[in-house]
Formats: sequence, C-alpha cells, structure tokens
Amino acid sequence: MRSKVKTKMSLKEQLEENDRLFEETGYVFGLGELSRKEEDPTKYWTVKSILSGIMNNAWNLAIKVSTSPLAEAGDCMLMLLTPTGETICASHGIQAHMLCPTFAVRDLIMHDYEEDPGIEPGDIFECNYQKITGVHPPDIYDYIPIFHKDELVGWVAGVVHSLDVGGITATSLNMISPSIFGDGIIVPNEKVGVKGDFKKEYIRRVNALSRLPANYMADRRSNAAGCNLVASRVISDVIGKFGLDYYKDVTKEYIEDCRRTIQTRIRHQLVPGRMRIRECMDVPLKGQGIFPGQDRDFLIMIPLELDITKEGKFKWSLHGASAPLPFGGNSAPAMLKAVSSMPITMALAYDWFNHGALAVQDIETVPNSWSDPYADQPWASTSDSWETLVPTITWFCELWSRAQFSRGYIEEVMARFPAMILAEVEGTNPAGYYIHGAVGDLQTSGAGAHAVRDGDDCAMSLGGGRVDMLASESWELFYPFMYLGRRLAADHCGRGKYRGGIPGNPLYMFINTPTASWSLQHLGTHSKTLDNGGMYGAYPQPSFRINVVQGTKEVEAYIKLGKNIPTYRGDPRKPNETNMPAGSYQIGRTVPQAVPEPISSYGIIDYTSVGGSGFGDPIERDPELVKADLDNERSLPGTARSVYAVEAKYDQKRREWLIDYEATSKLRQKVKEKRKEGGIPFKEFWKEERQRVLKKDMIEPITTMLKESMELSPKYAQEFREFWVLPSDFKFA
Amino acid sequence: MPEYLKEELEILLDGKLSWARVQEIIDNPKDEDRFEKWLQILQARVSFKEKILLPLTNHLYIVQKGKDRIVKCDCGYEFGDYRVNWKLYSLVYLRATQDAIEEIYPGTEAPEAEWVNVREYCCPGCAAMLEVETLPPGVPADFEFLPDLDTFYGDWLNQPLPEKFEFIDKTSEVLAQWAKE
Repeated sequence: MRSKVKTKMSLKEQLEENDRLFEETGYVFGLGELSRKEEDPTKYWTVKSILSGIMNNAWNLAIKVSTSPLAEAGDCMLMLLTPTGETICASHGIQAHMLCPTFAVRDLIMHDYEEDPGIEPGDIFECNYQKITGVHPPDIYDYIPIFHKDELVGWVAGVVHSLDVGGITATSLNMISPSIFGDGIIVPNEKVGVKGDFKKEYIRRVNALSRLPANYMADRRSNAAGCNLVASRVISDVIGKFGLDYYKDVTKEYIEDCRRTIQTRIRHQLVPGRMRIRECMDVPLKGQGIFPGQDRDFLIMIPLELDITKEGKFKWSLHGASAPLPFGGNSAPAMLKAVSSMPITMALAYDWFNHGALAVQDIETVPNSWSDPYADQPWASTSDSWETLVPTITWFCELWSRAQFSRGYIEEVMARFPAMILAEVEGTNPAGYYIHGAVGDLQTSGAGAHAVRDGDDCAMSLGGGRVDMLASESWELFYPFMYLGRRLAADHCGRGKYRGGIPGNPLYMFINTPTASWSLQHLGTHSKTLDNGGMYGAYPQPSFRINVVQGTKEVEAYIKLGKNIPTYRGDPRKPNETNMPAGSYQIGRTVPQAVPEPISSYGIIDYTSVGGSGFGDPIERDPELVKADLDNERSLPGTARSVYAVEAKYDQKRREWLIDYEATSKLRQKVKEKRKEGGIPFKEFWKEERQRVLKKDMIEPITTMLKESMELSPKYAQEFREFWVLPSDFKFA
Repeated sequence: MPEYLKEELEILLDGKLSWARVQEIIDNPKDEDRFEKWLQILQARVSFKEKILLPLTNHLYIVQKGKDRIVKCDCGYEFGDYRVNWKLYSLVYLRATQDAIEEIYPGTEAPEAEWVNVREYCCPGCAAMLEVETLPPGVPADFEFLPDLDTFYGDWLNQPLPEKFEFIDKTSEVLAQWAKE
C-alpha cells in the first residue's frame, strides 16, 4: 500500500542522509550553523518553551486517562520526534524513555513500513520489543504520525508502565521469565490502530492475553490521548503560527544545539581520561528457579569503563560483562544507549531533553553477554532489564562526579544512587476487583551524597526527575494491603563524611483478600554482596533483606488484640518483627523474591527501598550531623559508634542525643590506629590474593562469573591476567 | 558569567554554604576561572610545596615533583607515578570474615563474607580511608581515574605542561615486577 507520506526523499533516504551527514561532519543533520537561532534567538527560545508547554500539558491529560496509579506517580512520558525519529523534546515523567522511541521509528523506516503497511493520518504504531527498543515489555510505546496537510512532519510517542502484559507471572516485571516466550504480549513494531482508534482485533488480543485488559487498554488510550493532543497543538500552535519551514529547521537545530551544549559542558566541567568501576551483583535464585538453569545463586559482573575523549565525548565499554541470564535480567544495546542518555541529560543537558545526548556517546557492548545476548540467544528475556541496566547507567553519575570534583565544580558532585527495588502484589482490592501490579515505594530511594552535604532522603527516582510516591491511601485503595508504616529506613544508605539519602521502609499488611501474593523484583540490589557504590572512602549501603510475617491465626489474634505490631524495621540485630508470635516470622530473607509468594490476610512484608551512596571517610563526618540523624531517628546509636566513631548518649530529660566530643576524638584516633595496625601493605594483600586466584580458591558463583567474563571479553581476560600476573593460558574451568 | 570569591568557594568546600546558595551556584552558568581558584584553595591547604596539577579525590592530588608527576596525600605521603593505580601503595584494611564485616553491617544489614570482601584502602601516612571497594575475592582492584593530563592542560585549558607524558596505564608494569620478587 502506498502511504500519504509526501516528501522529496523517502523516510529511508532521509534517515540514511542524516546518518551520513553526522558521520561526515560531526554535526547532527550536518548543521554546521544554527541559522534560525542566530537570526532570531528570542523566537528560537520562545518556540522551545511553547513545545515544552505542549508536552507537559498533554502529559497532565494522559495520566488522567490511565487507570494506573503508576502513571499518576509519573511512570509515563510523551516525546516529540522528527520524521526520522530523533527526539526533539519530552514531557515530565520517566525520563529514561526519552530516546527509546527513536529506535522504534528507525526500525519502522528501515523495514519499509512506508510502503507496507503504509503510514496514514490516524495510524497508531506500537512497540515493546527490546531487540528494537525500550526497557521491558510493560513499557509499551504507542506512537502516531503528525501530518501537516499531506506531509509527514514528525511523530509523537507515549509510554506508560502497564500493570500486566500477560507475562508468565502476575507481575509487571516478571523477572523469572526464562525467555521472550514468558514475557507476555510482545508487539514488535506494529500498526495497532487506524483512523485514530485501536483496531478491534488488537483489543481482542489484549482481552485474551492480559490479566487486566481494561487497565491495559486504558494505558494505551492514555498514550493515544497524550499523543493526539501534542500532535494537534504542534500543528495549530507552532506550525500554524510560525510556519512549517521554521518548525522543520528549528527542531533540527534544537538537537544539534543540545549536542554542542553537552560537548561544551564536558570540556568545561570534566577532565579527559579513562575511568573504571564495576560491581558484582548477586541474584540468589537457589530454591526459587522454576525453569532450566535458574535454580542457582548467580553472580553478575557489571563493569563500566568510560573514556572522556579529547573531543568531549563519552566512549564507554562494558568489557567484562558476564553471561546472558536465563531469566529477565538481560539488557540490550539499543536500550543501554538510549537509557544512558538520561543521566547524561540530567547532569549535563538539563535545559535540553533530546537526541543530542545520543550524539555524544559511543558504546561497546559485549556480544553474548547480558549486555547483548541476542547472537546466541535470540529469545533472551529482558522482562526485568532494569536489573542490569540500572547498575550500569548509575555508574555514570559517580564517574563524572569524580571528574567534576577534580575540576572544582564540587556543587555538582553526587555519589551514586545505585539501584531500585520494586514490590509487586496481587489479590482482591477493597473494591472487590482482582488486581496486581507494582507499588510506588520504589520512588522513595535516597539520592547520592554530594561533596558538600548529605544526599536527599527519600527523594530519588532513577527513572525520572519527577518523584512521587503518592499518598499511602492511593495504593491502599488500589491494592489488597494497608500500610503499617512508611518511615525512613535508618542507616540504609552509603555511610561517609556525607551520607547518602535515606530511603523509605514500607510495611504492607495484606487484608480482606481471599488470596494474595507478593514479590520483590530485582533492579540492581544486593543481598549477599554489596553494591560497591560511594566515593572517596565511604562504605556502600547495607545488604537488602526482606522480613516476612505469615498471616497465621496466631498473628491475626495478636494483631486484633492491638499488641506490639511492627510499623518499621528498627534495629537490624533484632528487627521489630521479632515481637510477633514465635514461628510466624522470617527475618533477613534475600532479595529478590522473583516468583510471587502466596500470603494470607494479616501477613506482613517489610523491605527497604534503596539508599544513596556516600562521600568521604565516615570518621570525618561532623559529629553534629550524626547527632541530628540520631535525634531524627535516621541513624541508630550502634552505627554512630561503629561507623562514624562518634560517642553519644541520650539525655532523657532533654530528649536529645548529646555528643561527647573528647571521647569522640579519642575514638577516632583509635580507629586510625586500628587501620594502621590492622591494615596490610597492598603488595602483601596482592600476593596473598594472587595465590588464592592461582588456586581458584573462591566459591563457585565467583569462579563461574570470572570464567564467563574472561571468555566473553578477551580484553577483560587480558586485564585480569595482567593484574594477577597469571600465565597467558590461565582460565577458570 | 558569574564569578565567585575564593572565600565563598572555601565555605562551599567546607560544607558550610547554605543549601539555597549552593542551589543558586548549581543553577548558574559555570564560572570559567573555577579550576584556577580551586587549585589555589587546595594548594594553600596542603602540607607540601609541590604544585598540584589535579586533585584526584578529597585527599589525593597529582602533583609535579621535579620532572615527575606523582600522587600525593594531603598529609604528604607519596604514592608514586600517577599512571600507576595509587591503591598499590596503600594500606588495605581487609574485611574478609563475617565478624569483621558485621562490625560495619550488623544483623540484617550484613552481606556474606564468602561472596564479598570489604577492602578499605587507607593512606599509610595519615590513615585516612581513601576508597572502599566491595568486590568478591579474586576480582582485581579498579583504577578509578587515570586522567589524560596533557590533553586536559594542552587542548582543554590551552596551558600545555612543560613535558608530555605518555597516556598509559603503568599499573601492570609494577605488578609484573612484584611477581618476580
């Protein structure tokens, strides 16, 4: 079918021309000059503001069309694109998605959709296939063409995190999915709507394959409503007032301007060189795995090498990445590149929000690793790609914070905010409606510490700058639980001279539901290991553990008597759940709980969200900051002494903590002496550790991880052998 | 383009500037003479005379010592060539047992010692904890930042340093030597 696309060149020709111009000139679209900006800067910035206003206004409409509290909490976004798919600007919301639709439009163009099935006014295209783009299946992109008369002048895309896409478990992240065949409804770039509405057969497919089809379609209509509002206002308020030629020129200039801004800021704020960091993340699935290869405790290497080049670009490599995962934790090159643009934008192009961030980076993934699993495993699951994606991209912020510190822009420094964690629940809600989905407490993460102050508590969402955990009542109306508490998780942060932001500690008690289940999906948290985040001598945040109270009859009776019910975790040595009837509770279970676990009414789950990493040596922390944390119950007395080396006593009369400065000074001196006495020269440490490596004297998950990393990345194998000075044929069996 | 007094930048560095003012500084375009002032502030605070070329962390600096460029702690301890991972000359306080780990991470906070060791890299001179690395045993220590000083000074600041050094990681050369001892 011929489409109504009327341009001098086909979209494919335009795209190829754009790529060629960028390759040859280094300027996006070959724009050596920003003539529209130069001729009338006021008009240039005015139109940019109008476009931003249009996007945010449409976003406010879209979240009201969706039935999901996740959308209301900000897990959705709208993006305006050029005809060839470059993002021009975006709305509020989950900024991680800002550049993902670019790859969907590119795919559509390269697969000749212009010819078949054609591109018509009123069409709705959809994609949630991670080989093409996106983050995971529940983040479904719907996008529509913008036509001015008969000419395609751009696209608008929307995304909402949907509660259920029919995956193998009743969760949205569906971490245990062994392959794409467990990921649920996958739409690999398809025309799902015509004449402004979704096709009947598409809706029937959703009705047949999703557990929550009404919510699913409301999210699609949320996208469509937002996209249509953007499209109509771009036509009326921008093209109508400023002319089509101006719109075409200026939107391209915004993108090139963004690229220039980022490269200029890299050269003005950072320092060129090579940066390296990694973490080894445990995923303990022993006893939970249900498909072949899953029933073991995994260790995943997540490395990042970042070269800040002479030209002011980022060249990054994941060499050392370990093997693909037989569950949903894999990433993919397009998503890594698109999502890494989010921290780049947040840190260096906060006044822009567009494709320019893609133009300043080159990425090297490792074929057949979790970072690019498709060559050997074309059906690898990415249902919970955040598991590897979050740790990867959050390293960026810490690495260039190090460069900003070196350069003196210390106000910009922020240690890492290393992960997220997502509770998902299932059951019958107070309205008697079957429901399942994610809870917004993942938005209660703590931010990384700054070089000049503590990180913000409970104020960080990796996915987007707009943090909203929503009122507890919103979730209680939607899901089959009530909050027993939603407090700050004392000390659950990186500990340093400046500590990371403290996250939330929600406790859910399930009630009035005939059946229920819960899971805690993994997005980069550590249980058996630590995340390795933090700058200049700070300890990483603690291990992640879940406390669970089973809803037994004894527990029900105990609760109904109004006895000492836990409302927060409390002392990690003796959490408050230990007050509950003997035998009803389990303390310190590892994360994740990948497979939904049944729970009865009156059952309780207690977990913590993710804290920010710290900055500097903890014993350099101002004792007054330790006192403030003790007074506000953000830190416990044991931590004050063991980590910060601060002696404090609680004054019952004054109802505050008092610092003993003299004793603190002596204690800090003692810690330094202990470091000197107990510390060994690195050379000695290296010689002992080297012997251990030669003997391969490590637990199986470590040797397996190292074997995978060395086999998949010859470069890492060489670095590993050079570091330990090993024979050239050294390998782990 | 804003400019800040050195005195204000010192208050910022000491963590005593009001958050409202810090936010203003974040919001403003960046001051172009910051690096120059930054070096002056730090140079006045350290105990040594060698010229600071680049701060690496809040305790460590790359300095010009004669014809060499070495890493030096603010206490004066010298870690050697900046192209060798300074950790090689640190003291390692290793937490490789469950008890040692639980001194910092008690109860439900604790990871498992078989899976992860806490390597605390301290200055042999002043015992400041310079970096903490939490990796499984056997995983090499990372060299977090190897700056390309000649590109930085020559191409970015347009103030080339007197002599050029090859931009190369020399850590493995030292380790190879150690293996022969």
